[in-house]
Amino acid sequence: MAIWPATVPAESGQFLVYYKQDRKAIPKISVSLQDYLPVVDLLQFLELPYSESASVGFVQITSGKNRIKLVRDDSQVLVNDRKIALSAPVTMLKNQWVVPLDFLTKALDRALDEKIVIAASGSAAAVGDSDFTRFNVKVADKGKVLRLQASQPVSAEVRQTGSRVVFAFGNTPIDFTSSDGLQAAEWVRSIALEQSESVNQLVIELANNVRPARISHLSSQNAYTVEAMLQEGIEPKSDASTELGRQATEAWRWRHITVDAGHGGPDRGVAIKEHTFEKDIALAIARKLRWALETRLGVTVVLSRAEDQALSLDDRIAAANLARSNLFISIHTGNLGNSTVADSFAHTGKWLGGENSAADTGIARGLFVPWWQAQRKSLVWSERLAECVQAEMNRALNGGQTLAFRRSPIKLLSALAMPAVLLEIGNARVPDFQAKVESEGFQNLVAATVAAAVEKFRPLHERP
Amino acid sequence: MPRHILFGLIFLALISFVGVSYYYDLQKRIHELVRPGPEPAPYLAIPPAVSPSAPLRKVRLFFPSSRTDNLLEVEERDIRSSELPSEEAKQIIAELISGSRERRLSALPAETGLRELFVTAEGLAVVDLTQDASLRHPGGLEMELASIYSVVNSLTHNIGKIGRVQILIEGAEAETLAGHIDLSRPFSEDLSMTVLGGSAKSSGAP
Repeated sequence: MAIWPATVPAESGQFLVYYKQDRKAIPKISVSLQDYLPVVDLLQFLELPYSESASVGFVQITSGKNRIKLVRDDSQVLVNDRKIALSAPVTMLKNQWVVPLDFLTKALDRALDEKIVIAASGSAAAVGDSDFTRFNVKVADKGKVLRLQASQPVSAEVRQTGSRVVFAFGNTPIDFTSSDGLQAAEWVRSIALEQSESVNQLVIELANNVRPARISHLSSQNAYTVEAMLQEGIEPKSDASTELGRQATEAWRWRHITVDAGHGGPDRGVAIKEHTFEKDIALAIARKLRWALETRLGVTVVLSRAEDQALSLDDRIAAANLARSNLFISIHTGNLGNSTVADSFAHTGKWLGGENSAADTGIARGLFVPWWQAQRKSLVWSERLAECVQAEMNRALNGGQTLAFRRSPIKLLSALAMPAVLLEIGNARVPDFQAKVESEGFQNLVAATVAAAVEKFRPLHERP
Repeated sequence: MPRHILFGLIFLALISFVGVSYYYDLQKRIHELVRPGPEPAPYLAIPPAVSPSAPLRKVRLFFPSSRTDNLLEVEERDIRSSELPSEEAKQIIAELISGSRERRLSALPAETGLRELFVTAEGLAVVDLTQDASLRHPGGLEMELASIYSVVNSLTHNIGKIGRVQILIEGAEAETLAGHIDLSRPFSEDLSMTVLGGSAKSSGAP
C-alpha cells in the first residue's frame, strides 16, 4: 500500500504576476516538491503570441524577433536557438503546458526584453519596470514595537478592525520577509501577506490582550511602526523566558490548510440527481472554501484535487501529511435515509473498541505512532474543530437546531496527523437540496459557514 | 427452361430456405438468452447446509430506516435453526440482501452475492461479499455506516457465538465499502443508532 507517493500533482496556492498596473493570480501546481506554472495562462496575461502542438509536443513563443521553443519533457528550452537549462523539464499536466518557476527568469525575460523579478517568497513575480517593495519586520523597544521596514518609499492604506491591522498596498508589488526576534513580540499572533487578484495587503493579527495598537508612518525612513497598547497587568515576557514558548508557538502557528474534495474520477459519490454527482459539488464547494479561507485567514490553502480526477485515500492523506498541514477539511454531500431533512454534519474519526484518545492507548507517551493511527494525537483538536463547524452549520444551514457532530470510523481521517474533519453537506434525497445544491449562492453560503468556523477555531488551536 | 437454370433456381431456393431457417433459429435463441427469468434469489456461492425440516426460529434483522435520520430499524424473519453458527449467519445475510418487507431501505444492493462466510473459534464472523456490495452502493457516509451495521448487528444480535464481524469484498480486505468507513478491522455490535421497536418486540439477543 502506497503511503507516501511523491508525485501527486496538486495546486499549491497561487502565483501572482504584476504587469502594467494589473495583476493576475495563476494556479501554482506542485509535483514532487517542484512548483510549476501553467505557461499558457502566463502568456495570455502578458499578451505574448504563441503556438502549440500537444501532439507533436512543443510550444513556440514569439516576441518581436525573439523566439522561445519549449519541448515536452525536456528541461532545456531554446531561446533564439540557444539552449537554456531549467531546473525541471517542461511538461504537460492535466492537459496544460507547465513550466518550472525559473523559466521566467532564465528564458522568458530574455525574449520579453523586460525585467522579471521573482519575490523572495516564491509566490509572485513583477514584470516590467516595477520592482517589489520588500518589507522586513523587526521588533524594537523590548518587544513593544513592531517596525515594518520597506526597501523603498511606499504608501499604504492602514485599517484596524478588532485584532486585525491591515496595510493595503493597492497594485504595488509587495514582498515580505520576517526576521529573527519576532517571537519576542508575544502580542503579535501572526503576520501574513495576503495577495490575490482582489487584495494585496499585509495583515497583522494581534493577541486579544492588546488594545487598538498605535500605528505610525515614518515616511522619511520608509517604515511603519506598530506599538502594542497592552492591557494593565500583562507585560511582554523577556527574551530568555520566551524561548520554550517560541518553540511551542512555532509548532502551532498556522501556515497550511488542506481542503479535500471528496471522491473524483470514476468514483462519483452519491448521485444527487441526473448528471449531478457528489464529486462535482464537493469540488465546487472546496474551491469556494479555499478562497474564503485564504481571504479570511491569510494562510496557504491547498486543494487535494483541483479537478475531476481519481485520487486514492492514501494519496490524499500523504499529501496533507507531507505538507504538514495545520488543518484538514474534507467536503462531501450527505445521503441520509430520511428524505425529509437535509441537515449537515461534521464528522471526526473514531476507533472501534472504545479506544478513542491517545491517552487510552499510551500513544501519547511514545515517539512513534503507526501511520493508520496518526489521527489519535490530534483527535481532541479535531473534536474541538468539529464542535465549531457544527455550531456554525447549525446556525446557517440546519435552521438553528442544536445538532451534535458525529464520530465515525472514517478511513480518510484515521491517518491524518493534524486536526481533521469530514463534512457531509445536506441530503441528496431531499428535493429542496437537489434544487439548490448547484447554485453559487448555496455553495458560497457553505464555504462562508465553514470558513467562519475555522476562524473561530484558530485562536483555540494556534495559541493553546 | 434449360436444365442448368432449373438446377440453379432449386439451389438458390434451398440456400434461401436454410438462411431463413437459420435466421429464425438464431432469433429464438437470442430471445431465450435475454428473456427475464424469475426474480433471482440472493446469490450464495455456498448455500446454507440446513435441513428443510429443521425447526424455524425468529431472528431480528436491522435495516436502514427511511423515516428517521441515522437509524436502523428491526424486522423479524424466520430462519432454519442449525448447530453451526455459520449456516444460520448465511441465512441472515441472504435475508438482508433480499431486502426489507416493510418499505425500509436496502441494507445491501440487491445484486450483492455472498461468496463465503465462516465463524472462527474466537467468535469472529468473516463475511465475504461480491464487489456489487461496493460498486452498486448508493454512497454517502451515513448510508455506508447503516449498511455495515445492518450486517454487523444482524449477525451479532442473533447469533450468540458471533462477537465481531469482518467484512471482505471479493475475498480481500477492502479499504471502504463506498469511500468512507474503514473496513480493514472487525466491527462489534453497536445498537446506539438502532430503534429496537418497529414490528419486532424486544426480547434481547439469543
